[in-house]
Amino acid sequence: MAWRRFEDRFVFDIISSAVNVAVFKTASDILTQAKQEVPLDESPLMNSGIVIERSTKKKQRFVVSFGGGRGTGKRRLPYALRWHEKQARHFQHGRKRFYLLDPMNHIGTLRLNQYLSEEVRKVLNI
Amino acid sequence: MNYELLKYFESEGYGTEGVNLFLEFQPDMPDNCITVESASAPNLLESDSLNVDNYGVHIIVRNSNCITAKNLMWSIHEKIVGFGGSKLIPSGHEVSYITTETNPTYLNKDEKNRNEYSGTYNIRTMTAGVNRL
Repeated sequence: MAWRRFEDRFVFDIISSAVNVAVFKTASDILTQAKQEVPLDESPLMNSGIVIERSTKKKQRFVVSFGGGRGTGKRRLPYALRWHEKQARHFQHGRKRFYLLDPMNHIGTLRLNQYLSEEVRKVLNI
Repeated sequence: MNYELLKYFESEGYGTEGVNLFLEFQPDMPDNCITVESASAPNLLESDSLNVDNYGVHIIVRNSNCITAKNLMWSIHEKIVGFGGSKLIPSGHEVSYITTETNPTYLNKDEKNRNEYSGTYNIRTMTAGVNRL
């Protein structure tokens, strides 16, 4: 079957949903990695890690959040930011600060490229 | 790279190295100080073949006065974001551009009731590699 006219809406929709899946998978990977680096305390900080979808029709956006607060459905942990930004403390089990920034920089771009390529190929059947 | 940034701050009058400007480690005293630390930065795809690199720097401003800390942090932010096309210090690397990773953020008070602000930035530089173009 050949297309008689360019189905731009259709192409936009399938690419857009593929990108959405790719970004979600990337955000989930970042969260998984971040949970291995986040200071444990009694684990409320680790358990507050969540991926929230903030996509619109034209933009695919996912937020990886730690520390709860408005819009996350979790109790706000006021020390989450400070533990992320402040100088290294002696956390147990090799846990460290920059627990979100580092996974984002280390695996974010790589995984996004990989998932984008996989998902777009899947929907375009190539 | 963070040392070059620290020297740049010194030349811009933000303080003196070892007195109230510190590299990598924030000492307990003085109360009012600026610390420049390393941070991770996203990988640049072109870094594999071209002589460019991306550095992450994390800046912490500590001050006993909240407004002063905030003003200092924002002044640094305004001074460095968008900087590019020249060197931070005469003998340093050529900086392509400096971008924001995280905006100035209030970290609340520390255990000694001093206010802290921090921001993270990425510095893309032209470096002198041996094997890259």
